[in-house]
Amino acid sequence: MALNVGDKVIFKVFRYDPDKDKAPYYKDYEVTITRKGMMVLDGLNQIKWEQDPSLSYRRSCREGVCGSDGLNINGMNTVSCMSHIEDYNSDVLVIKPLPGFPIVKDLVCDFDDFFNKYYAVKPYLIEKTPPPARERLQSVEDRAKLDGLYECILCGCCSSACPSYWADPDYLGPSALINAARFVFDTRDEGSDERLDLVNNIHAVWRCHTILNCIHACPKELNPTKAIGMLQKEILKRKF
Amino acid sequence: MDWYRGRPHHIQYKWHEGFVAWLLHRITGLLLILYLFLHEWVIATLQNPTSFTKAMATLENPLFKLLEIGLWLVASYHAINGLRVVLVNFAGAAERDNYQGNVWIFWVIFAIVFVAGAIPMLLHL
Repeated sequence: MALNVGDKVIFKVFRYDPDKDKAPYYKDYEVTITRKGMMVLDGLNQIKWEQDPSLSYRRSCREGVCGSDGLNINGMNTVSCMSHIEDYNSDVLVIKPLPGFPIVKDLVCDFDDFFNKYYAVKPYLIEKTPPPARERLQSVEDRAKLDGLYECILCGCCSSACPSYWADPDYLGPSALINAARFVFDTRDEGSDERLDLVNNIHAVWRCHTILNCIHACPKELNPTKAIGMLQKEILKRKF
Repeated sequence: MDWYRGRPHHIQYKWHEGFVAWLLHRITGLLLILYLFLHEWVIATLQNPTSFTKAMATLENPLFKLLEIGLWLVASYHAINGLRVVLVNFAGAAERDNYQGNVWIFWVIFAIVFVAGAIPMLLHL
């Protein structure tokens, strides 16, 4: 569906203010297309700036790097700054906060648990040997192994799409696990054994039921299911 | 007023092939457990020749033959989808460009295996 300048699209936005509202509700806003290629975030900004300043949502870089604006748009998780309004081929966009996360207000979710799980996998370089005189070098081939792992922006779209993550409050989730894989498969890192010990339990890699929602959700086109599979294989390889 | 604070507001996601395959895997798994208990219970009643003959007479009923095909449906789906899950974890059957298509491939394999097994069962109804 091609949208032209002047067309209207309805944004059905999830509203909930815990201090005022008894229960969440949806409010319709009419967004006017003011230029070609408008993103969903542009539509939300238009609502906030011109129609209803009480709407809350997170945003920052508006170019898919900061990972602030993970939202559930027409049933699918994505970051709103990277999704074109016209790609949804619909006159109505239903905009909800990320599923499975507690709500702070409107589209703003509580990410505490999500980030605690991220920190739990030690997402930083662990060194055991003294550093060399210059930097730690890595071959081009070894560096290429990290493609598809390091690009995660921690937007929460994958973990929030995962039914195992909803069902098990202790499950680390696809996002924490892809970040664990990013360091486990880094040749410069020397802490992969302790990191693999951390993820080798029922609330980590073995909780994945390969529902594939995380692949479906990731706006950076990464593959958390595959990363979890790589971790499972690595754990088995080191054991046997 | 505070009942909603801090709670996950909704747990829904758009359905797609991987999710449906997993949902069916769960349902067939539960049905297999149910069947296992029924199976054990029937076996436990076969304490003497009379009860054995009686139970076998009931099980010769075409209804039970049809249920047997149902059991084959459930068991073959669970087994074949289980193989898919193993391939996803250990053989890269979930690359970004084919993760949904792979589910369809497995559904086709499942349909072939199921039909191939169900035809002889139907002929001996």
